[in-house]
Amino acid sequence: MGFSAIADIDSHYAARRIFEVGEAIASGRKVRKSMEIDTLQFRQDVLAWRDEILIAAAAQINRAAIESREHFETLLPFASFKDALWDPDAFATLYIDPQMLERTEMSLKRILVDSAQKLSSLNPELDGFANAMIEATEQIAFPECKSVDEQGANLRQSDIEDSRSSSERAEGLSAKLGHLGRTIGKRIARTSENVGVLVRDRAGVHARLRQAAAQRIDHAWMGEGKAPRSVLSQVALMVDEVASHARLVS
Amino acid sequence: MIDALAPFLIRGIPPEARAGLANKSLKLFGSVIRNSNGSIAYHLQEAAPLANILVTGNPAALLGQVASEVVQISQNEIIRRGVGRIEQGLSSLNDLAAANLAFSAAGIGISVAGFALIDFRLKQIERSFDEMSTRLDQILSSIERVQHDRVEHDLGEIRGLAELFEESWLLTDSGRAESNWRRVYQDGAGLQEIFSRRARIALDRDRDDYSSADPFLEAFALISGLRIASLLSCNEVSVARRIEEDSTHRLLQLTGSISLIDLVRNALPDDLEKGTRRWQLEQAKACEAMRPVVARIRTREQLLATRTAVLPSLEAKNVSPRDWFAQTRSEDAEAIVLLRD
Repeated sequence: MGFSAIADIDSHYAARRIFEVGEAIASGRKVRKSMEIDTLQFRQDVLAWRDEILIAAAAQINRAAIESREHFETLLPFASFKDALWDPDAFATLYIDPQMLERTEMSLKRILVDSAQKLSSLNPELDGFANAMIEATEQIAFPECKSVDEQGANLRQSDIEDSRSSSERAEGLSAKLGHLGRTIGKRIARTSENVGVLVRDRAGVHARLRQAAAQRIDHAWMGEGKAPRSVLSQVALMVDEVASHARLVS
Repeated sequence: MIDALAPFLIRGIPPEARAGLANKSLKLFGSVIRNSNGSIAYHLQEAAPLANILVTGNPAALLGQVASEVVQISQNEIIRRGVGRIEQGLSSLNDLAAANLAFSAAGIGISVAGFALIDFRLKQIERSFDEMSTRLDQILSSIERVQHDRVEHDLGEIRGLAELFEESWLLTDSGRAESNWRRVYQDGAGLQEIFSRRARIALDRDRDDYSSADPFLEAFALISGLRIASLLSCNEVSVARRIEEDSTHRLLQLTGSISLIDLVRNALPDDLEKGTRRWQLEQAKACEAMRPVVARIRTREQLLATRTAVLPSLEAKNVSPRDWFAQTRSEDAEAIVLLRD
């Protein structure tokens, strides 16, 4: 097929014949819709629309996660051994999810609704998709969690329980000490609490809880797994579905 | 100049087009500039001076080179004209923000601006192959049992066809010229298929890294454009349109669903923890890095899909594609000429 080979078959007839075959092949192909400029432009616009919304949604959830982890950090000193050793995931879920919900639910829905309106502006025929998308935003399954007020109550309750258990231990100790009495017992209680924080931190308890928080954010909010789907994965699924159908409307 | 073209041919970018592109009432889409209602306002066509600009690659060096050449013959007027010509050509590119288009293997309009331009684009593709030769050899050898030198050989085939295409313009025997152009169309079909298949393999095998497929896609776009240009040089309009449609369809099957978010996800480090400032930063960096890649993909699709968009306008003006090519090949000042629709 090289340049020299081409020279070897320099015959007008041969070239004409090859051309005719090519033409016959071209005309015999299955007829498909011409890729008009408008069609290509529209499909590229839909792809760009999908990019914009998914990048914005991921960034929004990640920002919320950063703030939620910062808040979570302030709670670590109040975590008990039980929290860290027996069920760090439950502790992370209890305190990460409400923060994430507060920071993502409305803002994410706003992003989706705005994007649905932009979709309509690409082509009026997409109004139906846009409306369906707005409805679908209400169907996003955010992790079930307690309200912010309840979370605050839980946290206070947790503080109290944690404090009481430490105090009870200290009170027991004070009873054994007998005559040293309640005042000394309380002093011991305060001391044991401070020591507990130090021990927990040194033993990597906080690290375990931080790891649990990171996993919670990954699995429930930003991950790409399918069972169950994270919030971001649900958004991606919805947007992909709309985009793939919308691209056919042209 | 062909009389029928005179009222419509614009050398360089007219002020109204420049203003429209700036205020977004006009939009560049492949080889056409569109009005806000979607109608075509202008068709772009690369002209011979574009080759000089791209081959040099460095405007400053280019100016120096032109000056150096003409100083030798001590003709100050030629210096002035030469420098002015290059500056004018560069101005057209800058006005259109068309550097991406100009560098693209698909080319602006129907590429008939000379072999030097095609050769420049081929060398860019070869450089891309060289830069990732080890990786490409792994991809190719595992599937096709071919190595890097096979790719070089196939690019050499494209270069041979491009030379044949170009030389045919110099023949006085138009029948022989048409015979050659038809061969370019025919022999290019196999190369189109080869590079399309390799691009598909690279995309399938290396999903995390689009870049390994890019040189194959560029080669596919280049040979597709050359085939279409060959057919139109023979004034074979209907087959040229079919080849454009078929090539665009194949290209869209390869890249039509590649989007920014997919490339960004693939570009993020594997060990990146979600919900962190580092994640935020890495996503922003990946977006920044991948936007030009996606723009290049989209531009390539647009350029291939608008390859024959000028034909209805030429038909309305009763000008044949070959005459249109001849006109743009004779341009000696502007890198790009426009045809008002």
